[in-house]
Formats: sequence, structure tokens, C-alpha cells
Amino acid sequence: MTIQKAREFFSSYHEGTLELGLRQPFERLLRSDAQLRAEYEAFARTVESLESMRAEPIEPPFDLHERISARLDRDLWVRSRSGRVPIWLAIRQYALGGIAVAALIGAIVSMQAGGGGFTADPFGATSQERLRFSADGRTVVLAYDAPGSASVTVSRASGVPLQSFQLQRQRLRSPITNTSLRAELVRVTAGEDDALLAVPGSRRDAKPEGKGTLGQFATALAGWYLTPVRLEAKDANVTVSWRLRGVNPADAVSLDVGNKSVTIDQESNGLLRLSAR
Amino acid sequence: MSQEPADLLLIERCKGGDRSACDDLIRKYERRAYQYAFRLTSNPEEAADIVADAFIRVYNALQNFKGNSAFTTWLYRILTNCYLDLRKREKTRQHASFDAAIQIEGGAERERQFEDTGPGPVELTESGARETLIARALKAMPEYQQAMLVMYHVESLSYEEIGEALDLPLGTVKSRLNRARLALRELLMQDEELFRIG
Repeated sequence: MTIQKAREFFSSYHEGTLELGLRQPFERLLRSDAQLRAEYEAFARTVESLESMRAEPIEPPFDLHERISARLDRDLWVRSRSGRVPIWLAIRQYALGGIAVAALIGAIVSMQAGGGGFTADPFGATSQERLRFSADGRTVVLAYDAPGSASVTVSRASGVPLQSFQLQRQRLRSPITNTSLRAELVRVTAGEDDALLAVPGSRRDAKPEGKGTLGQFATALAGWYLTPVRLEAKDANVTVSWRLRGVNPADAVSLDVGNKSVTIDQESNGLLRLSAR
Repeated sequence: MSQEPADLLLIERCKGGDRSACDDLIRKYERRAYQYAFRLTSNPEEAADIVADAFIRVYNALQNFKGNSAFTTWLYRILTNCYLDLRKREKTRQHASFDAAIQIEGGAERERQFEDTGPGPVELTESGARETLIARALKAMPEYQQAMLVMYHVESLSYEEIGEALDLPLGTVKSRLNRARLALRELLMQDEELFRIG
């Protein structure tokens, strides 16, 4: 066995895996060659030092996860703008019937400003509401200020989840866009807050008359007027019948609601509010 | 490193567009990914960038992950590639030539001086010095050797897992690791006096 060959066996000898037939000539050479022995001892110390690195703790930055999420969101946004959204994402969107919770695209999660109190803003919130909405054309813009650790989930009214965020004293601002043809009813749950929203699709719904639940009515409103609707009702399954006419939904709706009290208001944030007591 | 059933479930949910599952997958492995990247770079910003790049690649390529190898093995492969790409980009940037002379008035030239501001071996204490020497020596090695050494000795991947991650036969992994250890030993023996302390 040559010195050069012996060096090739340093690792396997150190690990105890050098086969017997090679181990004996290797050990003979180690005993007889002081230079090789010194090299092997240095090699063994090198390996031990490498192993000792394992015990050295490496603490990641406290905001590592947020940095990764922000980069991921940004990458998806850039890809969607350039049409390079991975095909599987596109297929998934169609499979969901087209309602795109565009939270991956342009969602902004930022640190909250210090202190409490919210000034009047486009969301029409002058109170201490944490979950707020505004309309941007047919799109609903969601804003939520997480007081601590909180999750925000957007799901279909049927319960199928579409998107969720985990927040830690952060402000979320995200558009919710319906890319399907017809209006859809979605539920937004944020911490202890909950909201039902009808988000219009890309095409006006053809039927101005109908009968169904309040949820269906909210969807019909959104689809007819192509305006997002927020439904506030203890029971969204209450049955109503409706006829829609004219251009102003607050004036144009005639409802048969029996003993129930149902009102439609145009809010300063651009949404229609459908309230039922 | 066998495939964890929990990982398979998260991956399937991710593929289905469940972003919260992707978040869970990231949370599960980001710390380990960062530690690996930091061992390679010794730079927290670069390490964080590598980890973010890696998870973006994971997210975009998830449909191609068939589960034939463990997710972690695949992640190590992607992390290593991100690290190699980072180093490649750095090498293509222009650097001031260490041999460039500075022209001063009168025609005399003076060589540009670059001071090594890092601590020299005699300025460091015992075990801390040894670790710093190891880290610095690793950085001086070719990236591929560096990655393999960190994978095996620090991240505790087996030879087989390294082979899967780097798409190398087992025998090649073993022989390359042996060469990498020998090369590291050579670098460290330059400071043999300090290295023997303690």
C-alpha cells in the first residue's frame, strides 16, 4: 500500500468501516511511517473539529419567517403580472370556480403603527374596528389589524377555505377578487371578528327577481349592481324574495321580507351593507 | 432520512393551493435551512436570502416533487444550489484587482494595500479560536466541498442522503468527502501550532 493510497482510506478507517483486508496493511503503514501517522492524527482532529460545530447553536433572525413569506408573496405577484404563474396555481383557481382570493398577489402585511386609535380612512372606520373593508370597483379590499397573535381566513360561505394568514401584531391589507362570472358569497374570519361578503363576478347577473336566503339575496345584489355587499344578519338563511330595478340599489330594491327588518345602505367605503334584524 | 407522513400531507395540501400548509412546511424547516445556509456563508443576511430563495424554488417546483426521496433531502439540494448560484453571481461581479497599482502624482506608483481586518490566530482564545479557524477554512474551500462537509458533519446527513441530495453515487460521495477532509486538514495545518492548543 502506498502513502497516497493510504490517504484515501483515512475516512473509512476513522469511521471503522475499512474492510479487514485493507485495514491490516493500512495499520502497518501507519506504524512504520511517522509522517503518515502525523497526517492521520491531524486528519482525525480535523474531523473532530468539524463534528464539534454541530453543538454550536445558530439562532436564525427573529423575522426569518416573515422575510421568507414576504419574498414568496413578492415572487408570486411578479409572476402573476408577467403571466408566469405556475400552471398548477392557475388550474387550482379554476377548480375553485374562479374566485381568486388575490391575497397572494399584492397582499401586504406590515407592522402596525404604535398605539391604539384609528383615524378615519378609506375603509370608513372611525371606530376601533379591526376588520374593515372597502370596495375598489368589483374588488373588496380587506384590512385587519391583529392585536396579537391572530389568524385571518377567507373561505367560501360553504366553508371551503380559500386563503389564510397568520399574523402577529401585524396589519394585513389584501384584495379579494372574484374572477369567475358570477357573484360569490365569502366569509372572512379574523380573530373574533367575522364578516359575510358577496363579491361580484365579471358579468352582471341576469335575474333581477328572486327568492332565497339573505345570503343568496346579497349575492344577487352584488351580481346585479356589480358592487361588493356586506351582509350583517344574525341568520343568513332567513328567506326573502326580491325585485331589483334602477341604478341605486338602496332605492331600487323592493323586498318581501315578512316580519323581518332588512335595510340596504350605501356605505362611504363603497360597499353596500345589507342588514337584517 | 425517510419521508415523514406529516410532510407528505403538508406537501399535498400545498400542491392543492393551501397557502397555510405551505406556511406550515416553511415553519417546520426554516430554522434547519437557515442553520445550513449560515454554516456555508457565515453571513446572516446571505443565509436568510439563500433560505428565502430556496423556499421560493420549493414552492414553484412542488408539483415536480414525487416523494421518491425525503422532502428534507430535496430541500438540501435546493439550498445547496441556491448557495452555489449566489457564489457564482459574486464571482461574475467586478472586483478591484489586488494587483492594480494606484497612480499618484509624479509618476510613482504604489501598490494597493488591502488590510486583513479579521482576527489573526494569535488573537483568539482556545476553543473559540478553533471554531473560527474551522469556519474560515471552510469558507476558503471550493463550495461543493464545503457543502458536503457541512451536510455530513454538521447537518448529520448520511452518505446516502448526500448522494440523493447532490445526485451522486455513494462511492463518489465517500471519495469526495475524504478529499474534502484532507483539503480542510491542509488548510488548518497552516495554523498547526494554535490548532494543537488544548
